[in-house]
Amino acid sequence: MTNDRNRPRIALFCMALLLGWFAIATILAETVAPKAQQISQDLTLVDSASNASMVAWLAAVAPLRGDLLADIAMAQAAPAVNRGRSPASSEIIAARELALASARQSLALAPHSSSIWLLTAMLQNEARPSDSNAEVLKMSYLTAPADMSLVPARLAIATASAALADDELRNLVRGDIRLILTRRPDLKATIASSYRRGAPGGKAVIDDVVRSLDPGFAATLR
Amino acid sequence: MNRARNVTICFALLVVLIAMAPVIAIAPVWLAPQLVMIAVALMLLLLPSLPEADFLHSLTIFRPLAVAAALPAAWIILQIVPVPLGSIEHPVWRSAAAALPEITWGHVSIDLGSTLRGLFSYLSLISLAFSTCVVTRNRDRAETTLFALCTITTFIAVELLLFRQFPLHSGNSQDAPDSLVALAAFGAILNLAFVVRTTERHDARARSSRTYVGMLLLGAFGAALCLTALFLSTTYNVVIATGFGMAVLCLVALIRRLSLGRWTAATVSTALVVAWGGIVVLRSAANPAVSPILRFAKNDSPDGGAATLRMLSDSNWSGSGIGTYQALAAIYGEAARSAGESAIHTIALMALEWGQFGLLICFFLLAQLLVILERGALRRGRDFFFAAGAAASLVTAFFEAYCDNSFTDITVQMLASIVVGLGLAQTTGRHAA
Repeated sequence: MTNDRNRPRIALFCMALLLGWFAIATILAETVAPKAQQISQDLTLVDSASNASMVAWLAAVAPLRGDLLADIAMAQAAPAVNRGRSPASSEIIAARELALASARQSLALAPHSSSIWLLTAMLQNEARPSDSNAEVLKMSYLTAPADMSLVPARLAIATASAALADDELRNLVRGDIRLILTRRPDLKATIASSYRRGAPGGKAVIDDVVRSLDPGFAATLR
Repeated sequence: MNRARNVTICFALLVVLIAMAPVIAIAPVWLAPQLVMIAVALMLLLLPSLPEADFLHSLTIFRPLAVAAALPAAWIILQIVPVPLGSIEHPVWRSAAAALPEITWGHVSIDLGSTLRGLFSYLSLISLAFSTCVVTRNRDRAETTLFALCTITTFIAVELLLFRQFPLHSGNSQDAPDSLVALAAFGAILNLAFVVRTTERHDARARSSRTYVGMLLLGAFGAALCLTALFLSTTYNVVIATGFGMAVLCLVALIRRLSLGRWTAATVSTALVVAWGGIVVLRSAANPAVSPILRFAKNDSPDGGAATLRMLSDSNWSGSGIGTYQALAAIYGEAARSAGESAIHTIALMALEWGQFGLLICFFLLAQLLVILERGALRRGRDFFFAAGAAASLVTAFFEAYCDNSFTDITVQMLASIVVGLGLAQTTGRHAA
């Protein structure tokens, strides 16, 4: 009888603890996690401190938060992404693997994040250039087909990748180029820079689409 | 001594939450629900030390709602738990599994973190309604809560009028005015409830006419201010939704005043529902070019409407997970994103996030709440206006959900929970439960 009377009180106490813990954990996690960012047009990221212990801590206090893990992956990837064409040191390789692991962990919780699919493709391409990233790149297109803030970086990464051998991916890249030429001519410079950095297959795709839509601009590419 | 102090702290927390509504409305999206959650957690910790009778009576009041209130929570949990690929998961998980070998299970939700936050928000709102119920079992505290609600919603109506004059608002430009509109609609109803309360108290205690007229004018002025703000700041559909809610309150007052019999009351209520149907049909016919589900929407951008319809036609019974609208809109491209940060209206958002089955569960909870509140209002003595006001607010919220996305805002959800808790608390007398 006494147990029956106490049961609602125990339930309320548990609920209070649960709500309090979740609220405080969320506030802490949001405060500590690095600021959200996207891969810039010149394929760089803002360098900010983030390490493996932070990932473990965040995963423990704020479970299932793919968005926060995405921010951490971006921060962790900065040293590897920003090094340009200089050779990768052991620290850079370690940072890249850490960022890749965080990005994959984030995608396993929130597979809608187009920018993290793009980051994963970029890091995988650097780690194992011979492997095809076609499926990963396609996910970046499928999850945000018209996000203009992602189009420049996506075009640069896709046209430099061996994954462009995939027919479906090639069509998606063509779509991005068409989108720029028809709706955002202010981003034409990104087509030119992707052409300069691109692999031979990527250059051919750009050339093909630009020539059909804007022959004048096509002439300036070469 | 400790018990009295705990009651005071608990009640103070409730009043602070009400008073903080305008601040919560402009707090960062990630912070506002957490602030509410912390306040609710503190209230829950103090509840067991409140008067035993109030606590037990509140449990009795909430018992018939237990299943209906637990179903949405169970549904959100189902959206989070892993399910085998190729079963009920969202299609994005199948594509993701093809790209990442570590993804071997799918989920209904496309963002587990957002859906988990949705679950905790829902739990905090239910807990807030229960806490309010326990605290406002005492009539004096219930009246102070009603007065605080009237004051803050009227203040929000003034804010709405000022925004109209001086459009200084920045940030969530789409959401904040919608939430202010919903709160002004609640304000019109609650001020009307305050007018009814003043009349009831005057009849019962025969107070001095000067106090009576003063209080009556205060309530009437508040209601008029809220209605003026609504007329000037929003569409006629929202004003009509507010009118529907006010009609519910007036109907209950009429049935009680005239002591109508059961069948007469049922006939008058049916006539009101038929009149509502007529108004809805007339308003719907005035906008035949648009899809029926979007005919009452405030945001009538053709691109946004077409994108919403495309998303709705692709949606299934299980939805994409609570809190995932923006991620879903990104998948649907530029047109869907152009519709704004939130969906075109609350019902569209719920159909997409909760799925058709989840939407039915929510309607079931709403229907049960309305039945309990209406029954309480008709059976209750002179304090019927609390339950009638809560039922009227829910009716307005239901119809407004087809007009704008205000009910997706934490401030509106929080004040609605408090209004419902207050109404439920007063469905039975202190000695009757």
